[in-house]
Amino acid sequence: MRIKIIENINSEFAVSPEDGDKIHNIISEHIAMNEVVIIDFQDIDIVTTAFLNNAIGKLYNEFKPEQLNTYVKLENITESDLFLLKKVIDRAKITFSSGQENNPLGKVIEEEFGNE
Amino acid sequence: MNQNKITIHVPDEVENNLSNFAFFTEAINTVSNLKNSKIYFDFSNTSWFEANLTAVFGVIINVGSKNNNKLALYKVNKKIKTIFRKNNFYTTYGLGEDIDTYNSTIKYTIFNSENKPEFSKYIKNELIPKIKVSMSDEFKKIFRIALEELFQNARTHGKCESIYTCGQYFHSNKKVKFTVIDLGRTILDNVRTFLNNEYISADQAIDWATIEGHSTRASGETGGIGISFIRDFLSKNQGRIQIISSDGYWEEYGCVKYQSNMEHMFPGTIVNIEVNVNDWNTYITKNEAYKSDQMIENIF
Repeated sequence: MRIKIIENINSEFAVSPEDGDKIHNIISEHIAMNEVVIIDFQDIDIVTTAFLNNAIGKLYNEFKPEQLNTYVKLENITESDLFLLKKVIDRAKITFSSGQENNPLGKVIEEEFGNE
Repeated sequence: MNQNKITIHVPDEVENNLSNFAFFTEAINTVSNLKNSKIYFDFSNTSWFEANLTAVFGVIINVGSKNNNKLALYKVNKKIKTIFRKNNFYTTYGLGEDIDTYNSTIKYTIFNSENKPEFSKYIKNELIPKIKVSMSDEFKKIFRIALEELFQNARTHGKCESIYTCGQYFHSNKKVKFTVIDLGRTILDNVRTFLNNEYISADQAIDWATIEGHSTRASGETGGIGISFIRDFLSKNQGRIQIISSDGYWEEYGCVKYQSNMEHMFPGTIVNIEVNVNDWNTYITKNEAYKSDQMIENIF
């Protein structure tokens, strides 16, 4: 199944979390049905982390990385968009693997030192 | 009915600094508490007004115009009047317009915060073309992303109705100054709620929010990259970012950070950036194996 982002969000600007949710929901449905999905970035003019956090990052809350690697492919993504996506993926892995999304105090104490 | 008359004296030089943000913050608090009043903004001693700060002034005008108040600008000098007439500020309030001969103003614009492409079009078609210097495609992309991230932050964290913007391109020193403002939930409110900590100060809250990975997004969501992305970009660019929210003031110039608390609270968030557009740095880590026409697999 090919998902052309531009057609699904009706814009060349993939910038908002709401539009990210639209893409996330489609991907999530197809993975749940064990269907491979190709996310096509053709004709997308600009992408933000605000969009990608919701489109892709949130998937880590539902699926394991192995599942995402099996079912999700990307096409026509620019090098700059891929750079941003990798930041989003790295952050999502931390957020959802350590339970930090439910631990708002997790970053309050920055370090603990002085132990012998 | 006798109308109450209030005069607000605009500073001699309205620049992008703490002192002027403190002035604007006090002014918005003053006007928001007035009803049935005549409010004069006295420019008689004002010799300079940074064009991008028109956005902050516009917010004050809009807030002041409520509650049956009447507003007037007094003794605006010719230079400042020209800025206001060229950058859509006077046009917005029916005070006239001049042609932007040098085509360097980035127009004062009030955006609806709904999910619409207007801001993206404004950046692509209004802001970028004003920059009359050769820029790398990479820099242009990163700069646009930074601006979009600012706007999306204002929309999603501010939860506001309107977002005010204005900017200016300076050809002499190849800089862009740009301001984004919302009158929604402050960073302090969002961070205090998220951390369940009522003791954190406004400047500490802003500082917390700028750190990579820190986000007040709801459970089940990921974030905390947007502002740190902008910080990283501006640090390498030797640019500047100022964030004013509630009574917190936070700024970073290159790698030097400063933060403090103001006497009054701004009822929303102002983000002000200064970018060097003659920038040929590398911002995107290149992957030798990357090919644009190849399907990307196994990156998760």
